[in-house]
Amino acid sequence: MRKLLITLPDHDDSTLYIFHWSKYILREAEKKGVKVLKLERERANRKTFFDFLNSHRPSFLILNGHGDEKTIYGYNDEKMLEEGDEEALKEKIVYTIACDAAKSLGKSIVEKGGKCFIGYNRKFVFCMDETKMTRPLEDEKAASFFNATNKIPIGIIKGNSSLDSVEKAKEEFRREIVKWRLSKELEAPFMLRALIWDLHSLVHLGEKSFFE
Amino acid sequence: MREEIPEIFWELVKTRFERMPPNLRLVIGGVGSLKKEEILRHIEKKDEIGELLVRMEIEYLKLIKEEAESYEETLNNIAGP
Repeated sequence: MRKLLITLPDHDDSTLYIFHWSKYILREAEKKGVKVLKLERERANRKTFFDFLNSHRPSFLILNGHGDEKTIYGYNDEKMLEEGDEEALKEKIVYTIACDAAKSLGKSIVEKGGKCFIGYNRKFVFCMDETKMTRPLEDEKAASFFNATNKIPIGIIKGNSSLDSVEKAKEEFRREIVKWRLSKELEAPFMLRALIWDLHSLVHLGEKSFFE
Repeated sequence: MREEIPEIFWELVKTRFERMPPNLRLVIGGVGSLKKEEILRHIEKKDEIGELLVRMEIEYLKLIKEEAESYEETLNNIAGP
């Protein structure tokens, strides 16, 4: 059985939105009969993460949370994965929305045996509508970003290659950019700039891989 | 060393964000969800976040320039020699 591990901290606006928008990833995993190891809220911590990696051996990791060039953080921005941990990620597909992580940590994971690393090599940005903050899934501004980036894990779960899934996500970012170019809404200029930024920050490192 | 950002870009981005609708927030990973007033403060301070916003603007302008050039090339090809 294919196994995926997902971390889901929700301690601030940004992680809370990612938490809610991950619902579509979980729904696809359930549909495809994938065993999902969910590390929600406080359970998104270093100890539980490594315990699950060692005992369940998932081959696909979705790491939500904040990041920097060398680290991915879990709940309350506690360090969860950092340079030096690459051995534990051998033969795994890693996807993260964490900022900057593709710059150094991602490269290092792939160089030391990770199948592939998909993430952002600069800060991930998105727009949200303040009036929808308590109902993130009804936030149409945020949807433009999450519908695009979610194409990556959803595509991989569906059985598409990691590279094709990234291409699909980039196509969706481009579609959203065209949509907002044509929009007369006051939010359009800000949406556009943020979408272009994310499109250019998204990278796939390592081999074209399949979730097996 | 990073290129210095010309003053005109700081002015341009400040003017842009002065028009940001009050209901909209810009979320920057690792920084938080920023309201218009907070964004304008970062631009005025010309700090790391302000610089990121200016770089976003420059990337947008580059894309528009590339598109314009591509349209021009297409039109020239249609018009012929």
